[in-house]
Amino acid sequence: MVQATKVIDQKEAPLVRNYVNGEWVASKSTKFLDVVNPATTEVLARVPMSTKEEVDEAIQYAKEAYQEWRELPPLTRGRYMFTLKNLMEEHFEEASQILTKEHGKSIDEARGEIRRAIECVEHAAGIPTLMMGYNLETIAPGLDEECVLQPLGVFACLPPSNFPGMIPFWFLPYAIACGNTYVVKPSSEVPLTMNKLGELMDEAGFPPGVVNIVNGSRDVSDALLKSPDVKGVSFVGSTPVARYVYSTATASGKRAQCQGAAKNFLLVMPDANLDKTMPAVMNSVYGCAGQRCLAGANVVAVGDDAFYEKLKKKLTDSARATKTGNGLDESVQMGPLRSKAAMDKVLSYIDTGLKEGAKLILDGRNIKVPGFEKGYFIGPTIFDNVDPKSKIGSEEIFGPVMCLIRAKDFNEALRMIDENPYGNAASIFTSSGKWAREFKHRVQAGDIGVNIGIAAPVAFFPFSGWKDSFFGDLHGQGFDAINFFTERKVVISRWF
Amino acid sequence: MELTTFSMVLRYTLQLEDQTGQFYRALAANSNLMQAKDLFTKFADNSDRRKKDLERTARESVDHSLLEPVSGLFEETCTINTAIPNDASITDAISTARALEDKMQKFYTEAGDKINFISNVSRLYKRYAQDRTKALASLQDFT
Repeated sequence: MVQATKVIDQKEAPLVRNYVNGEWVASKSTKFLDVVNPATTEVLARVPMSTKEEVDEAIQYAKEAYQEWRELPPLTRGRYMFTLKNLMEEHFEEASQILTKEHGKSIDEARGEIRRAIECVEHAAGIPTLMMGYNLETIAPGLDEECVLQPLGVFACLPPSNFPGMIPFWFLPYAIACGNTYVVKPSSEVPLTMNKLGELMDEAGFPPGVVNIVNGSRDVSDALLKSPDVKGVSFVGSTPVARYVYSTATASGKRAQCQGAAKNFLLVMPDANLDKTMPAVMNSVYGCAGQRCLAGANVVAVGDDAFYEKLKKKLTDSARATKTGNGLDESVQMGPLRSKAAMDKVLSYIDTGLKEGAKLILDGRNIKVPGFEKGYFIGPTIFDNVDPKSKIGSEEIFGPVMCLIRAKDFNEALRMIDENPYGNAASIFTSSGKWAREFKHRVQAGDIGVNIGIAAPVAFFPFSGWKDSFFGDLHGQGFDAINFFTERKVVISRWF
Repeated sequence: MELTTFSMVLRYTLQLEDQTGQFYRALAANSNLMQAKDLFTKFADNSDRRKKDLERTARESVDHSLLEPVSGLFEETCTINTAIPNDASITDAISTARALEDKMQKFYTEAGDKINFISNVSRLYKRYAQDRTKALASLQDFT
């Protein structure tokens, strides 16, 4: 299989293969994209843009595998999860290193991501309990009623580039534990982590066709979205594409859960413990170089000018101390942007901010990382006095850019969040139970943090975006995942 | 050097435990110090156990959403001296061991506070700080 450990001349870079019906197969495609290490710009591998026929073939194998896979007792399917979990533990460091190399995030962040993926597998291992239905005796004299949960067939996943190890696992373990079969189309920018995890699933011995990986781009996505044999799709990415995936999938009667963009607000109240708040805000804004749908983007100082200035100084000092560099260096706190295109987009937003009149008080452009001069780095950046309705204050930048905003009171801050089209996450930093309670009760977002910078739900809770951050009803992870990947069947019985 | 990330703190701790384990193994093998052989062997075994537990707990607990920068923790504050001559007396050996345990106790206490965002590992550090206090007491009893 592909080894993402060496660097390689572009022509010699290994080709990523698809995993179909339990076999690693070379795509017939003649079109390839480079998989580039964003810290070094070296080409790690080349990923094929698989054809529609290859997708259809994978779907057919998944459809055939479904017939036998769904008949296995849930306990047996759960055992595959235990095997997979053990393999993921065994290859934890290797998978984390691959992830850092292809994505750029720090090695600690990569380890933390793989851990989250394992947690979803661990949760799905409890499928005999998770998938239980319910019943009621004597709904009428002599009549009993029961509700059972059954799998539906083939599901597909279209994950993004920012969490290539974790996000497919918000869905995949639950889907197959429920008795469905699965096709993943990894992000073409970062296919190597999923490739490694595919190797582990192969080693775990899942029957052929239960899990399939087809690499490619929009053609592969469209083939999955339009196939009548695919029962549902899970997507994470930008809002316009989430909207497209949702409308295309549901138009043909598929289930769809589609997560889009975000613009997350962090409210800092005057009574917050600032020393403890700073590290949480730093991780929120600059972790994964800001390339998280839960990243804090707008930091709102709630209170008077003196508090605003005090907070600004602390934020600027902390951000300035953040070490940017190659994620494989354990002293590095922030890696590069995922790609040149991603870096250019963030630089463009910084230009926009300047044109909009915001004051750039910490400029991460032109940062030099010794030994990695070609890397796609932008250092921690802070805009002061941002209007929440401006472009930089309202749109997702997806980079290490903090927008510092003033609000005279709690209600004004809350209104800013309400007026933003996105509703993925929001956090409050306070010592007041009253403000915390008011915030979590009233705020219009789905993942809420109280003195937490990244409110990332663990495996047993749904990842709950709202507004333009999510299209669908049932989210990834938790019981939502079980409900998404099963159909209800109600049986009413009477015996004569 | 300042330890600024969770990984750095963990890596440095493992190095210290490695060094500690080797130190106690050497003492246990020293024919001049046979009267403390069992104690030194136990301490060396404890270091090995702590290393394994630390690696496992860290691997199982690290979470990208909880990671925070670490500040104010420096390698220099816990540089341990494990150099001891072959002909060292039991008094010298116990004295060096006590200095080491004292530094390790302080390091685990301080580092445990700094990485409290990964609470399982932080708790482990605090437990190990207590272990080192007990080790100090054992060394005190020995003299």
